[in-house]
Amino acid sequence: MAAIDDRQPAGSAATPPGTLSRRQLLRRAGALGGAAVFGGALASLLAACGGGTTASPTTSTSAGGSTSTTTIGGASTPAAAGAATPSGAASSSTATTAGGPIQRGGTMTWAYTAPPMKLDPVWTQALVDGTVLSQIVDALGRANKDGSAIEPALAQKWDVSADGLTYTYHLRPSVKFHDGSTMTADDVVASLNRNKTMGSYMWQLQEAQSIDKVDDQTVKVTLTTKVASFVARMATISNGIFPASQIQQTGKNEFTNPIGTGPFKLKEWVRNDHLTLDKNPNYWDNAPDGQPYPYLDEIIIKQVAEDTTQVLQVQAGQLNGGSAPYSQVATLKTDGRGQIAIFPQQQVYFMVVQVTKPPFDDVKVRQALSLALDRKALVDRVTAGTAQIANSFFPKGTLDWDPTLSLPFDVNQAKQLISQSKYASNAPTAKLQFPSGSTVGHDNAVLVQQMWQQVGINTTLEQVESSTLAANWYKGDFESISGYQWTNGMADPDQLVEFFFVTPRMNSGYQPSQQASDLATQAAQELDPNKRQQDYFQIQQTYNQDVGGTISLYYTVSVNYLSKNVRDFYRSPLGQPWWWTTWLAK
Amino acid sequence: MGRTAYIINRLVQMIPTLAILGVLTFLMIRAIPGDPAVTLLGVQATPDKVAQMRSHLGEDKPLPVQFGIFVSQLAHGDLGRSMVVQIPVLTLVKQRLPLTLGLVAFAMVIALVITIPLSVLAAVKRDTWIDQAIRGFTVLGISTPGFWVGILLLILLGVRLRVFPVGGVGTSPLQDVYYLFLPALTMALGVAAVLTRNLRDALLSTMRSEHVNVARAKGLRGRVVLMRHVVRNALISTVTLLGLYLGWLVGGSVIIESVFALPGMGSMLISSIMARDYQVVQGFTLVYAVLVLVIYLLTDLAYSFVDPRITL
Repeated sequence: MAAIDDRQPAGSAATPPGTLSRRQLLRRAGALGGAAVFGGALASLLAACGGGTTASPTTSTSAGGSTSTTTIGGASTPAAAGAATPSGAASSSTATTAGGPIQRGGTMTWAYTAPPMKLDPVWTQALVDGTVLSQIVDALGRANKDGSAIEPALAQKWDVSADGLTYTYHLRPSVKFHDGSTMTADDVVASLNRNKTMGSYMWQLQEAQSIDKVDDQTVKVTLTTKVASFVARMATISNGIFPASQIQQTGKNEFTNPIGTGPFKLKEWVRNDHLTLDKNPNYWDNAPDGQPYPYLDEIIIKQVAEDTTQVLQVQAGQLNGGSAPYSQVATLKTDGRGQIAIFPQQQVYFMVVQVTKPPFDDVKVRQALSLALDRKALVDRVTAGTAQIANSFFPKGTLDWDPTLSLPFDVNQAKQLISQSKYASNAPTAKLQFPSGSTVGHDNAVLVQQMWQQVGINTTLEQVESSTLAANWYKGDFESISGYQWTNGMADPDQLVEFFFVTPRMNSGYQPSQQASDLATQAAQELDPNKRQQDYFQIQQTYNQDVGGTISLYYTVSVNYLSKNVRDFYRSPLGQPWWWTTWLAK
Repeated sequence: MGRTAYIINRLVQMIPTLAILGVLTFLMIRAIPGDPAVTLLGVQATPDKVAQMRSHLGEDKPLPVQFGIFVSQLAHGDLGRSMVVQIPVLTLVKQRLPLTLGLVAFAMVIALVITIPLSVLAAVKRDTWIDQAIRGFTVLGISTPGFWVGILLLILLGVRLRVFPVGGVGTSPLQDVYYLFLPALTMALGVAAVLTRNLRDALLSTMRSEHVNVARAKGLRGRVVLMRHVVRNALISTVTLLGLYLGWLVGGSVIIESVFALPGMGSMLISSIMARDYQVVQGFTLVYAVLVLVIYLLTDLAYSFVDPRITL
């Protein structure tokens, strides 16, 4: 870049080169000062407008999960109660009030930070993919509203044989796929076989030795051993029912244009930009007014990478729904520009520790490190008070979650345990890693570092790029990691227990006793709900005592930010938005 | 040499550059830790699921075989298929490139609209307060980070004043002009700042040159001298800088696309790197490289048109 030109125009009064005349000095100072003031004003303006830090924990779905009493928490914003109706006051719930006579029609636009990437339920893990698929695809059963039981969906009823090895599903008649064809047992058999033979959910049917069509409306599955979660597995979208013709055409490839029986059908998908769902006029499930669900005509799902931008877009009227950073929740609840809707989820935010590496290799140290954590402070400072303290590796509300357990906060006992451990005087420094792009991960890590410091354990923090961290975690090549949460994807704990307790135990090197492992295997096959509950209670207790490979921190909620005209939005504890019961007030 | 021969020569020279870039990208994206299968499976990754997924993605083949596939596909004009979204990379390019190009071009136009009047004013009113203010603005423009300015503009003009939409794109080209204005402006400010300084200096030195003195001596009016003799000649060095900055803008558009939620190539490149979608990263990088090289070629050609003294 050329240098500033200081040469005088020919003929003017000369000052020595390299010096400034008084007038020039004053002029330059003025300009510089002006620029500085301008810059300062801009900076303070930004600070004032400054939003919160983005606080979206890295989520991953999994299978598992069950009940919770869905107390839909959170205040309602004053503005939302606005629309025409009196009854709003009754719900102590979110602003999606039972706001009067339901109006059909309209297009709802919703944003996700990550775009839907795979619309094939046997190949995808992503929450957003699951969300879209659950609008397009149905399974034999579906989780009820609070996730406590499985209710009929594409199967009207099912029978289990006395020995627990044969499940007979009686299909709902006259259900139409989006392409107009009628669902029969052939489609069910083809869909289940597909899940059994390819993808990431083959484990769901690994005990199935045969899947047979009995007649056009009946399918029979025969298992080699008892599977307590089988009915719950048949209610997940990986066992969603697709037309046999589509399955045959697609072969080994992934579905890119899935045809299902769900309340919405896929109209258009421009990758990484937007996805449009159209109402399915022939949906099998009727709304209270006698017409089929859904109420909406169309849903557009957009990618908006920053949740701070999503908030701005909802307020500007470009979006009907998105997420909001925790730090903005309090302000957004009251500023009247939109509605905050919070739903408890079967999710647990946890840390992983590598139990073979010092100082985590001594169980007393691990117990101490868990006791040193003030989980209430974490909840207040990281999630703006929205989450709930964890007491188990089971998310709250999961079937057979033990409410009597606790993960207490006791600094003195922690210090005592450390003094009794093998690292009493010379504890090595611990390394704590968290993924990039996650403010919650970062904030947690910083607070944990401080809390562990209190009991004499020094920790170094390291922010690692998320795919790199995932790879290291997978190999077990880490000391401790924070920034991840587990979400139940199924109304049953058996996958949860499988991953945390049986294998791979979060790659933490944790080894429960043989007896405890056997208990887990037994519980997975236990059809008597009471016995099963006892087994799982025992497992949770053991896990807390051993401080198995993970330390549970808190149970996170789903924070949704909606435009003022959205009504009756509901997100189930298993993370699925019930968009077929949502409507827009005009 | 004639223009055509020059162009062909330059195009041929691009090939080794692109080849080296292709190899480097292929190796680098695989050298960094993390792989698509583990990333896709996340917390759910177990050895058997990972093996299934790797096989499904074609990632389990030995490295030379993968490279061979990459090269042979390239020879057929095929950039492979995205591992994550399962559609051809070339399709993704066709979907996304127009927006990125449009954004960059729009940014350049705005930059010129800001630059030319400001630098002419600064040069003509040299050392007055106008000149100082303009130069103060350029310092600010050079030193503030683009994404910061972008977010600020979003808040002020998008939310508070509701003059412009908060990110996203419209449904027609005309609407897009409205939607892309803020992101283009954000990119333009940084470039305009540098170009203004450069053009101002070029104008000042041209003003002092002999042919301008001759024009003045001939008695031509100030404005005529300015337009016909000064600006045209000063633009030469600016055109070169413009070309360089177009190349820079192409790279800088990646972050801006993210901030403003624009469905261009940049935002997809970022997400593909994070997801370790090898095919998309390779394909998009090559496309960006071709873009930048073609821009440099066009810049040199433009240079030869603007300055008759230049022979290629």
